[in-house]
Amino acid sequence: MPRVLTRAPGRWTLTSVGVRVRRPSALPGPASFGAGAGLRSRWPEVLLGLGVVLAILGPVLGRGYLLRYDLVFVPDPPFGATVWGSGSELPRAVPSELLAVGLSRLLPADVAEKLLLAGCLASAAVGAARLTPVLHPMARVAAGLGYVWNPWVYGRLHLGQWAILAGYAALPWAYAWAAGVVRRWPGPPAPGRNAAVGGGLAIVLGGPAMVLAAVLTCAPALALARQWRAFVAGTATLLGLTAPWLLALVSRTAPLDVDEQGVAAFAARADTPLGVLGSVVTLGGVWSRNAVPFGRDQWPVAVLALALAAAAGWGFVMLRSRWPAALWWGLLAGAVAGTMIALLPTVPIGERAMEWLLGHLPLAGAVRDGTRLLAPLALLQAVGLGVLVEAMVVAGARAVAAVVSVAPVLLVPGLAWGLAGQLDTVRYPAEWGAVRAVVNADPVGGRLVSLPWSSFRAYGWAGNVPVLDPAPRAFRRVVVGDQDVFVGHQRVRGESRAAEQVAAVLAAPGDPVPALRRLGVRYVLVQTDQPGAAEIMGRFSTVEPLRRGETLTLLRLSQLASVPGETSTSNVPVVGYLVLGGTLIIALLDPAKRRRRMLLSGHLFGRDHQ
Amino acid sequence: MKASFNPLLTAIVAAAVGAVLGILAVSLGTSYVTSTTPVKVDQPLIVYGER
Repeated sequence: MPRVLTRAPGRWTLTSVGVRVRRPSALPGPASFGAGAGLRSRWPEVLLGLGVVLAILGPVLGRGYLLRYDLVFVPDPPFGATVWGSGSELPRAVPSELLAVGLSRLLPADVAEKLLLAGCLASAAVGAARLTPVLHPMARVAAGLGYVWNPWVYGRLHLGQWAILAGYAALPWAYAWAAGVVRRWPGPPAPGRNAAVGGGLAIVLGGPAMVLAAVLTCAPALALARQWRAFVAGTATLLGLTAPWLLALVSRTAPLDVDEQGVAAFAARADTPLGVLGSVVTLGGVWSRNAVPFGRDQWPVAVLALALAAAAGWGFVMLRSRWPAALWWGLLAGAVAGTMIALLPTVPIGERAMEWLLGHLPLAGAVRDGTRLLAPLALLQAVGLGVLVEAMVVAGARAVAAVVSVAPVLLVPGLAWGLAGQLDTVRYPAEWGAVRAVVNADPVGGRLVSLPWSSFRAYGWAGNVPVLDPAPRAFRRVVVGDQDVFVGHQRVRGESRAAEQVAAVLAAPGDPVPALRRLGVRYVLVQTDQPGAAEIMGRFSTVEPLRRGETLTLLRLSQLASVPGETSTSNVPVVGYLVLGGTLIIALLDPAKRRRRMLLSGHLFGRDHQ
Repeated sequence: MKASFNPLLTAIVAAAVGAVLGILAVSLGTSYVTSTTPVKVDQPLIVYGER
C-alpha cells in the first residue's frame, strides 16, 4: 500500500504505516491562508525560485544585454513589424515580442530581458513544485529542480529561446488548472484557480509548439474526466490567446513556403551514447551540438541520467494511487505524444510525413524543432521525482532522498552560473542609438534592408557569439534581412517573400539601388564589422552615406517607390491583440463572478463535476 | 447534475470551431510545395548551430 503524507489539524500524518510526522510550522488551513501565511508555507518554492535564478543567472544580473542566438533585446525597442507579425515570414515572435517590448518601455530593456528570463526560470520551478502532490519541502524542491534543471532547459537557454522557456514555465500552471478542474480545487499546496489560470495563460508566449504541448497534456486529462465544459472553455481560451498569430498568419497576402530541409536540420539527435531515444528520454536530443550540456557524451553521465529518468518514471507510477486516473493518464498521454512527435523526424517515414505536413500546413513549421514538445515529459519526470523523494523521506532514507533531490544539478552542472560562464552581458555601441534615432524619426515610409546578407551576426563587442540580427527589432519600419539559417553547412530557407526579392536583387550583378528602390527600400544599413561588409559596401558606391560610423553605415535611397500594401495600415494585428486582451480579462475575472467567467473557466455551479 | 443548453456558449464554441477550420483552410490554400531554386547570394557563413 502506498504511504503518503497527509495533513491533519496541526500535524502531518503518514497514513498507511501509522507513523506520524509532526510539523509544527505546517501549512495553514485555507481560512488562514493569507499572504504572510502563504509565504511561510511556500518557503521551499520561494527559496527554490530565488536559488535557481541566482544559480543560473547570477553572473548576468547586472546591467547589460544578453545577446546570443535567438535572444535579442535592443534599447528602447519600438512597436514595430516584429511585434505585430506583419512581415512575410512566420509570426514567430507573436505575441511574446509584445510583452518584451512593452516591458522594455516600462523598464530599461536589459533589465526587462533579465526579468523575463528570471521569471521563466522561477515560474517553472515553482509551478512544478506546486503541481506535485507532495508535502515534504525536500520533495517539492526535487520536483521543481527536476523541471528547471535539465538538458532541455540548458538547450533553450543556450539558444536564447526565452519565449519557449516562458511557455515551458507555464505548462505546470496550465496543468494545475486542469488538475483543479478534475480535483475540484483541493487547496494548498496546489495552486489556486487564479494562480493556475494566471500562470497557465503564459503558455501562449511559447508559440504554437508550447500551445500544442499544453493541449497534448491538458486535453486528455479533461476528456478522461469528462469535463467537457472545461474542455471547451480551455479550447476557446487558447483560440483567444493565439488570435494574434493566427490572424497574422492568415492575413498575409503572399503564400507561405516553409523549407522542408528544416525537418532534418532541426530533428532530434543523439547527444548521449544512448542513441536518440535515450537522449530524448533524458530530456536531451536538441538539434544543435553546441546546446548540449557538458559531459552528456560520456557514458557515466548518460547512464546516470537514464537512471534518474527511470527513477522519476517510477515515482510517477507511485503517483497513480494519489492522483485521479484522468490526471495521471492525461499527463502520461501528453508526455508520450510529445515524445513521439519529437522522435518522428528521426525515422525516414516520420521525416517524410513531417515534410508532407510542412508542404500542406505551414503552421507545422513552428514545431519542426520537435524536441520542444518534450516539455510534458519533463513535467512528468519532475512530478515523479518529487513523489519518489517524498517516498524516500517517508521510508527514512533521507540521505538518499537528498542526493536524488539534487541529482538534476549534479548531472547538468553546466547550467549553473550563466551556463558555466557562457552567458555574458554586453552593451550596444553608441552609434546603434544614433542610427535608430535617425531612421525612426523619419516620417517617410519604406523598408530598411540590413546587410551583409546574413540572418545571424557575430559581434566582436558581444564575444562573437552568433545572434539574430538586432535590426528588425531596432527599427519601427519593416526591416528586410536574410531569413535563411545555416545548420552546419546546410541552408534552411526562411519564409519571407520580401527577403527573397531583396536576395534576388543582391544576387544579380550591377548596381542594386534602382531595383531596391522599386521594392520600396528607403534605407540600407550595412553593419561594417561583419564578414562580407566590404564587398557589399562596394555595391553601393553610387550612394552617399547618410551616416558612417565605426560599425554601422546608413544609406538612404532617396527616391522611394510605392509598394502595394506596404504603406497601407492593417487592422488585423490590432484585432488579434484585442481578442487576446479580451480573453485575458475574461479568464482572469474575479472568481466570485462565476456567471461572467464561466465561459472561459469551465466552472459553472459545479456542473462539470461528475 | 444534468447539463443545460447554453446558447451563448454554443455560439462561441461554434464560432471558435469555425475559426479554426477557416484558418486551416486558408493555411492549406495559401501553402504550396516549392520547386523553385533558392537565390544564391554570396554571404558570410555565421551558423545557427552544428548538428
